[in-house]
Amino acid sequence: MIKRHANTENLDRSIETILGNLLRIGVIIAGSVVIIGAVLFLVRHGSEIPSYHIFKPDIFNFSDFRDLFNGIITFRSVSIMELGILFLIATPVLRVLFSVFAFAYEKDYLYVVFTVIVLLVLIFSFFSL
Amino acid sequence: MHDLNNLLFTLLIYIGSFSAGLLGSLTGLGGGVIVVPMLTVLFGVDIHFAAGASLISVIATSSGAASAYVKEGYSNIRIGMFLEIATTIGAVIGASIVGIISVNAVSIIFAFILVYSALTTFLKKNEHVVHELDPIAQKLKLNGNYPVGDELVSYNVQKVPQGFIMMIFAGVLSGLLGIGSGAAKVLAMDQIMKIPFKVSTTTSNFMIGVTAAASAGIYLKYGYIHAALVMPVMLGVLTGAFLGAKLLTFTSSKSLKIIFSVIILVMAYEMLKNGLK
Repeated sequence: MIKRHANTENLDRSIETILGNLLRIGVIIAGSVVIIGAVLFLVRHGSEIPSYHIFKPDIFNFSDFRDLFNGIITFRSVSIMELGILFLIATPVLRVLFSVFAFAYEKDYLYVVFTVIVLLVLIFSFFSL
Repeated sequence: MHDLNNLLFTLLIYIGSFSAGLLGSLTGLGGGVIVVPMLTVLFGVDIHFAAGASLISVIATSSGAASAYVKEGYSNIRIGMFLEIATTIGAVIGASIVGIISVNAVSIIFAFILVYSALTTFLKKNEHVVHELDPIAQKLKLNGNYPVGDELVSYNVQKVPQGFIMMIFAGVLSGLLGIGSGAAKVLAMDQIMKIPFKVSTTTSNFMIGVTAAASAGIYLKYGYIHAALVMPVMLGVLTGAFLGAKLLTFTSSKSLKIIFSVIILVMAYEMLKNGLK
């Protein structure tokens, strides 16, 4: 088995194990929400003809959170699938967020800085424009 | 295929994505690279929607497989986190220029990436360990060790700036095409930075999810993420990859790799044809 672990590496490993499990739970939750939305979608719109060959970006607008929220509370199938997709996108972002605290706990400030930079790039991606 | 109803369309896309996830996971190539050509070439889906659906499936497989990779003890979180600075910045650039570049150009770039991915399958894996110490790698605490049999073998990371630049490029490709860019990431880590192959691939898996998330924000804004299309792709790739990981222990992947590479090359030809139309 694995011998001669340095202390920080042991800590790294246990933090990563927790994060790995959190990610998996996140994927299971996101997947379940998408499946609920999918069932509703196929029951209600199963016989309609989709058109994905022409790009029409304005059909479903994620950036309108009020619309998304209204869709979720009224059980709109597409909104529920969108919620699941948002949960899924959140999983790696949360991993980075937790890593900031993990490196801070290890007092590895160089990596706290690196992780914060990654987090800032992610925040820029979601909140720019 | 344009007159299928939602039920049939969803079912067929699910089956296709499931196969992509299964083959991708069995061969170690990842299913993402084949999803976009499948959607555009076989199902006539617009390349922007296809890239959006692929990107989300990439996040799903990366996050879903994370705990399995941690258990193996190969991944290096410092290498991953440091290089994620490069890949996320690259991804934001890549995702931002999707709308500017013509669909034809994207198809042609995609064709080349497909050919490259098929070729890397047969690339010689870097297993030898470099003993020279690189001062930048030391300063950034990138060197580590990994289990080989019962022993821990330590490795020294080389050429950090070159690897970092290659990672920006990998990020741009990921954002531009909606793929995980695993092949480009492994090239940077394995071939340039001389990180052992197993450490490269598992660390790359972690990075793929974060890199794709950096593109996802921009994809959402531009309306590339179409929930009804993402649904069967994401669920298909995820369940296929999950089954692949379970089967991996008792299948030989040599002939599978050849089959998958041939499929990829056919897709590359079709993408090139689309691009030159």
